[in-house]
Amino acid sequence: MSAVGGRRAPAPGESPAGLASVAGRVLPRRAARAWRAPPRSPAAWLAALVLGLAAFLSLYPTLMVLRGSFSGGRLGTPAALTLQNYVAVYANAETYALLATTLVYAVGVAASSVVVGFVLAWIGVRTNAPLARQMPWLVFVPYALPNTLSAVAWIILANPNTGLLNEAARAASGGAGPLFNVYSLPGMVFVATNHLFALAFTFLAAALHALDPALEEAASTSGASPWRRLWHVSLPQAWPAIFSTLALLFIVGLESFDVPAFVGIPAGIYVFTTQIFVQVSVRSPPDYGRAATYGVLPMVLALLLAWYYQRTIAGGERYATIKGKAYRPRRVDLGPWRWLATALFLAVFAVSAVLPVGTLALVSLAPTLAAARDLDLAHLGLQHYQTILADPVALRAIRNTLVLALLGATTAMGLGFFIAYITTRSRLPARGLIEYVLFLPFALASVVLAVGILWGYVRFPIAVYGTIWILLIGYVTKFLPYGFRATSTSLIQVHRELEEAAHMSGAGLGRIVRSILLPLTLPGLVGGWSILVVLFMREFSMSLMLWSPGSEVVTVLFYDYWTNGRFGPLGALGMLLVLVSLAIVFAVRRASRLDTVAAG
Amino acid sequence: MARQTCALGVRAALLVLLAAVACAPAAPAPAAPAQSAAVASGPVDRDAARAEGKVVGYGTLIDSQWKTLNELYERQYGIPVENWRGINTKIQSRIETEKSAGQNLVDFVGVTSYTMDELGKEGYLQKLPPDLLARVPERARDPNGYWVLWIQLPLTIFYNTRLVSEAEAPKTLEDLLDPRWRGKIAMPDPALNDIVTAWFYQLRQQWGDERAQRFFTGLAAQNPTLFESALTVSTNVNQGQFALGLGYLVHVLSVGGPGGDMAYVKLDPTPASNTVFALASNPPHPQAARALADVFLSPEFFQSAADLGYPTSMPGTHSALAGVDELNLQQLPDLTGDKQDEMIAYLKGIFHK
Repeated sequence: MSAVGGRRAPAPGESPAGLASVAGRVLPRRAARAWRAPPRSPAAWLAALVLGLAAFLSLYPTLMVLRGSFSGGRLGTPAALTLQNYVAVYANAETYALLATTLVYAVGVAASSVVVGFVLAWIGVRTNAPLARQMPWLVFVPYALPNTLSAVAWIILANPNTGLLNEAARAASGGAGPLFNVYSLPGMVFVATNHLFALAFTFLAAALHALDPALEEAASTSGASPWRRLWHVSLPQAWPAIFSTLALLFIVGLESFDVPAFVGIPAGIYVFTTQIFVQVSVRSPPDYGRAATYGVLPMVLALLLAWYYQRTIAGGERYATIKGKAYRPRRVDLGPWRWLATALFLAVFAVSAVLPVGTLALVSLAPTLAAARDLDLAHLGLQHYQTILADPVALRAIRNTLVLALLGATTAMGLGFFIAYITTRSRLPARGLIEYVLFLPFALASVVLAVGILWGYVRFPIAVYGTIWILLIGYVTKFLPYGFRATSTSLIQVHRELEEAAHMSGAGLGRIVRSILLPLTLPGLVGGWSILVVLFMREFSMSLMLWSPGSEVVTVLFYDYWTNGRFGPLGALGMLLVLVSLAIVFAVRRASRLDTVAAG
Repeated sequence: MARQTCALGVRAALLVLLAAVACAPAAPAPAAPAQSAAVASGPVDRDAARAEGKVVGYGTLIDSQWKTLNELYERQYGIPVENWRGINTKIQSRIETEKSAGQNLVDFVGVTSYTMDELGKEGYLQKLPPDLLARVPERARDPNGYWVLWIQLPLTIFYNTRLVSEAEAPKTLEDLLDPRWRGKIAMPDPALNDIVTAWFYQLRQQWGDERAQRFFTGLAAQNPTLFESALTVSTNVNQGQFALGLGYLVHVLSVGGPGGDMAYVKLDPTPASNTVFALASNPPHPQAARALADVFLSPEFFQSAADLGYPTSMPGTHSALAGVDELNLQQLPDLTGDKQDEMIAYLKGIFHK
């Protein structure tokens, strides 16, 4: 994992739990002394309330998934406990075929993302390839492109009949058959990798940057080629980071819904998440009990893997190469190969960012998809943008998306700040447990969590179903660990002495937070907040399960436009989202100074 | 002590949580599907309708139909029609979920007759007043009084005329098994789209198991691209993403437009689904819903459907798509419950990889 010395928010997709264990190890003993709020003081009650709320948000939907899986009744209605869903799901050979497909997909996505991410991270962080310092910035362009849009772009580019790439290949070769077929399992893995390699890059770049260059230098002195050094020196040193990234991306692949929905369903290829979606949203009447039961197996798998991942991280000291001795990482001189290395990076960038974004831009400007395919540049215009901006539903979706993103990020960061304050400044016995509890929904596939939320909140005393508030609850529940990590990594760097001095001078808790903690942790908070805003703007899986007419968000409209064949408005709305996301991502990079990773 | 307070808080929260989970099944059941009073017969209260601000509909109508409906309605009442388009099962699923949540979010529904029957059985619809039922001939009315037939949706093969000439186009369903169509067919997923499930069920009944199995496995071997919605199929064929499609015949005009790039294959008999109209029980905007029914079942809106090529239930309207009025339409069977589940499992085994 990345170094903990820099004040930064966790990167998008970074495991908060992984960082949690690192933070736990570096937390100074003095900072962990007893929290000194007087008994039954408002602060103590506030702490109890915040922790209770966080525990409720995390545990309630998780337990409701389990409760729902034993229910034979309708959503939220009384029903006796039964095993019939388990018999129907897990005594069915089809489920194991589904499991096999899911595992192949998740392993494929994790492995290919890590391979691409590692090679590019090594080029970007450890070599003198031209543009190396810009690479950590550039990889965020494909990450800012939501998977939903990437999938649509690749369908237009690589569908077997009229995909632009296939037509170009046919024109070049004279062959009749398609060169690419996005509607296939390899196609699904390819589309997902285009997005997720950026995550692998981020984790691995941080790890590679932290490696002691002495071994590489020794290998170089012994005459090893750059590639031999990569294979025999850098790779073994980075193995813990590679493994943890692999594990994390496997979980991401397991819970992935967007690419399987857009690309897998048309190909007749189903994974657990799409099967759950079908049970709830397409099957009639919806079978929430069976959906919850389908969700149990990936939930158990993800939790086991997360636990194993935690253990690996916790035992990672034996691989430590960052020692007390000062050193400055040196970049490997690739000689003439450096141009090839940059060309490789640019090729991946072109495939993962330029091609799909360019395709979306073209589709958003062309009057019809056929015109876009024919590259009819004479008739490009802004008609689809005008359509979007004149459509009350699209405008409402944009407004809902912004409200949810801003409010959700603020809520998650606010709650995260309180929890982090309590866990870093107190000796609360349940401190470690809280981190695990917070992590629970994070390990759940979003569609599984959405099923739990529906079970839990559909007949909640406060009516939230049918409003944007159920989406807010879903977003905050899923991503609260981000808020917690972003704030706790900042808080542990603020020495307790500052607060003690303020306390001695008569400042109350509120004043200490306002005058000391908030200003000092602001960069980390802003970084984490911005990342959450972007994540919420592009959230798809939960939104598709929880929305109702009136609470649409932009990604739900993508799916709606896609199923209705409205490629132009989809492209236009997608481009607007990408531009806003990119602006925020780059602001995040500046605020959280992630680019310093590449500065070695 | 503070530490104890916090620990106490966590424990209390956990206890509350466990109590909440344990109590979840004991939550009050939704009110029995109430038969809400039928909307008033006679003239619409325009002011009351307008005061409700909007009307909300879920239906399988395509964009241009929603647009026309909205234009007609807004012109008369000055308030918009908010719509959500989905396939039949999705609409049923959403209404079920909303009703489970004790929420009434929809005013009117436009889906196929057997989906509407299911919704009626659950108490999610209200009976239409006699003056609205009387807008269509008796044969187009639900015997239980919940819905009226609006349009028929014939199913067939259609093709993109820029990619396939009339001479080389398939003439029968089994012509789709010709190797030259491999990878060039788009169709609704027969295990997801209830209309195609029912169509294939009907074929199995008519052809017998052996011939139907040969056709289905042959079709699956052609590697068709499977979409959830028939509309996605026709828009993709219209835009040249695929040469051939299976789906709604009238999309040749309603999606492709006059003089567009799609043509259809005449099957005899031609299987047909339908779209029927009903009002939801306990609609959130009762007056606006009553006014909407008035517009939906108006000659003008029936005619707009006919102009898009649909055969309608309103006497005197004629499909604008050549040959449609002469088709030998054969209604799809009402496929629900165990029979539907069994057919879905059978088709999944063939079409899903």
